[in-house]
Amino acid sequence: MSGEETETVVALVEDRFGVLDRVVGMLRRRHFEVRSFSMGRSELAGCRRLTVTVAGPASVARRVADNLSKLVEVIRVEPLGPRPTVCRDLVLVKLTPAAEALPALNALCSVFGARVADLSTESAIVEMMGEPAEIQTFLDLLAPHGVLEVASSECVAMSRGRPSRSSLRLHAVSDSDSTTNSNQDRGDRR
Amino acid sequence: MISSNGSSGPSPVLESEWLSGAEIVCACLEREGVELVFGYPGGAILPTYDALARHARIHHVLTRHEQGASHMADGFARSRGQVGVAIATSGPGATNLVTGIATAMMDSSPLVCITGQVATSALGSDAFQEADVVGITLPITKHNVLVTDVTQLAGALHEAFAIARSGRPGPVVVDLPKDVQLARAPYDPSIPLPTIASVTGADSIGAEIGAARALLEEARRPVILAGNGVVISGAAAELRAFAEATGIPVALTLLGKGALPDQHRLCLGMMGMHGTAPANHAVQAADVILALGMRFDDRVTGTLATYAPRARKIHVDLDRSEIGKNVEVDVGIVSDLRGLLPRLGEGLRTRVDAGWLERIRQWQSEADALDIVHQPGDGRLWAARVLADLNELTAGDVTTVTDVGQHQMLEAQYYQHRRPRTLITSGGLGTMGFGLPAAIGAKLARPREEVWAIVGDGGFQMTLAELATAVQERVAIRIAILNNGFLGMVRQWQELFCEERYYATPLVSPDFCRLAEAYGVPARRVARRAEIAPAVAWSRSVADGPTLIEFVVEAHDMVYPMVPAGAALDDMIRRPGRGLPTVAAGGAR
Repeated sequence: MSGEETETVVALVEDRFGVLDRVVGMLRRRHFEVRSFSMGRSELAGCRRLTVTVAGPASVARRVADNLSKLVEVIRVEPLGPRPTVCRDLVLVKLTPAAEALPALNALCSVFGARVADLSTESAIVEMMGEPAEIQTFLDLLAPHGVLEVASSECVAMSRGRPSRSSLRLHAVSDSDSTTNSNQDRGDRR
Repeated sequence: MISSNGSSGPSPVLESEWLSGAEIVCACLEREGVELVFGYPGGAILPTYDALARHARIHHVLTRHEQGASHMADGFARSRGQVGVAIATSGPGATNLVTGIATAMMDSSPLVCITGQVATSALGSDAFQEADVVGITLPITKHNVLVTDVTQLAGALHEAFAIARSGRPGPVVVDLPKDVQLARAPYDPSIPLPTIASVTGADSIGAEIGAARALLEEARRPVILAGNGVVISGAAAELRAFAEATGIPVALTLLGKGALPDQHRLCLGMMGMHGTAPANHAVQAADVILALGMRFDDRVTGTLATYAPRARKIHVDLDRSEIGKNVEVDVGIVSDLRGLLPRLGEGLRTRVDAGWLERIRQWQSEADALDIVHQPGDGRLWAARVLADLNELTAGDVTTVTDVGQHQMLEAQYYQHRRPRTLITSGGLGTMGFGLPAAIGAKLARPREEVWAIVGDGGFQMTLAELATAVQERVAIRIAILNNGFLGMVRQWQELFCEERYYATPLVSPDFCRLAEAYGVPARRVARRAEIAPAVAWSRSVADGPTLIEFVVEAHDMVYPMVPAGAALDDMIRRPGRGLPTVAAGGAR
């Protein structure tokens, strides 16, 4: 992973039957190298927000965005590019730490802002949220504590500041007299 | 954008306006102006067929295989410029449509395919004739949808039509479970149809237009590459005006044929793997390329490493994802062409080198000298000769529908199309078996147009059962089989690249004339040039149904020029020497 160029694209999609298939199918068919993929809730009812990170330069992100924007369910696409963004991954790690190693584990957690979410006589589950690179470092440092399982939400990302209209507009302006913002955004698609 | 002015929910209606899903399908088809559908019935689609039986305004063409239905709908759509409709049952009926759907997708042809599906209660249970049609067609459709609620059916169908015909057109599949066809719902025939805003390239592309104009004004050796987008956009007149005003020569893609008449002084003919030498040389020597509604397909560019190395490139396409996909361009404009071309050309001061057109003319005369139809006859019947004669005998004024292979390339080289939508051919997917059914669809789309199906002995045998459809519907297409006893284009590659190992390419075929007659299709065989004109005249005299002419042509024939896969576009294999090629001129490089 280290040193590899990646780009992140976020999109707002309608939560229709099969939309996940459609998005993933497009990424597979066009042979994009997906490094991270996440689809979850958004600020709008009936819509989900997608964050996809692909290997390659900005031009690849542009192609991902252009192809996403052709899907009927995709309402809005934003290649994050060089704009300042907040990017977070949530990871759960199940460990079997030796009793004498617990202080060291606690110290490690506090350095990374992680916390122990579950502790039993057999295992501990640690949770951490952070930038993908931080997460990787944390996982590397946890290795001596006997990692049993890792689960991750994958990266979710958001650009800082108000979304600029022009950055969202992927397609030439439509000449229709659409009345709502959401229609305007969708009108840019074809 | 999909929008409709009314509310999407069902409005309060009278009891009498409750319709079954199957009746809603028919009502929606009528509202969309559909007069003709192509299909094949079966259990899961039977309710819709039963409803069709009561809708006299929609004529159903029964095909002999669902692949034929999807190709016919495609031929219809390309010929008329309207959405073509294919109907099939679930499972194998739907999977048989797949080749036709992929063909339409690659060539941006608007289709709506309605497929039956098992009842919603059985979905996912591996029920009889169940297939995941939405899953199967997902990567080869512009959109697809499984309708599980009859109240959503009318909206889904109208949306399918809107999506299929809008922007860059393409196929849409609507999968209809049997119980949804039988369920009843209120149907309001006056709900507004959804519309999808067209991308017209308004103010936001002003800067790109300015940059393109600057490049065109600096150009000394410019060339226009015109593709299917010009045809789809209906921008042939605008292209002609632009080319004439600027004096820029035009090379065509296979699907761009007819966008500018082949006879036009600025038309270089087709470019690419089997393109004309002047077109390919011009692309490679150009200093500015203006690509219009084409997608830099690998058959058009040759190896990208050396493609148009001196040219700064302007690419106009309605589909943003095409810009920069295969070839990096200097200026990309996302726009429909019809509105854009006048804007791009307005007051444009181009200064094309006088020597540029002279050079092109020289390439043309060199090519003419090598052309087999300019050689003295030797008694053998060459496929190129058949197409050149057909062009003369029909004054380049018919619609031709081809299959895929040598005859397809020869058609593109020798048939001089005058009008857009008069060459219908599977360009992107290269689907053998397309020709005959697509010709039936094209003829039904424009009954007054003279339509020739030009096919090879290989592709014809893939879908020849549709002869029966042509007879049943009395479709007066003129079928020309160029029979060389081989899968000719593969044979050509074997001759050039496999040391003449003609493996799995020789064909033993039936007697095509007797076969045709068994179907009730009058047929003639032509083996000598002198017989071409009488046979063509005979075929043109038959008005009430299909005819077939089998042209028995030279087996060991080649399509020249040829850019080998992976070679530069101007690194063409030319017809060897002046004079006729010897039989099996192996390794003719």
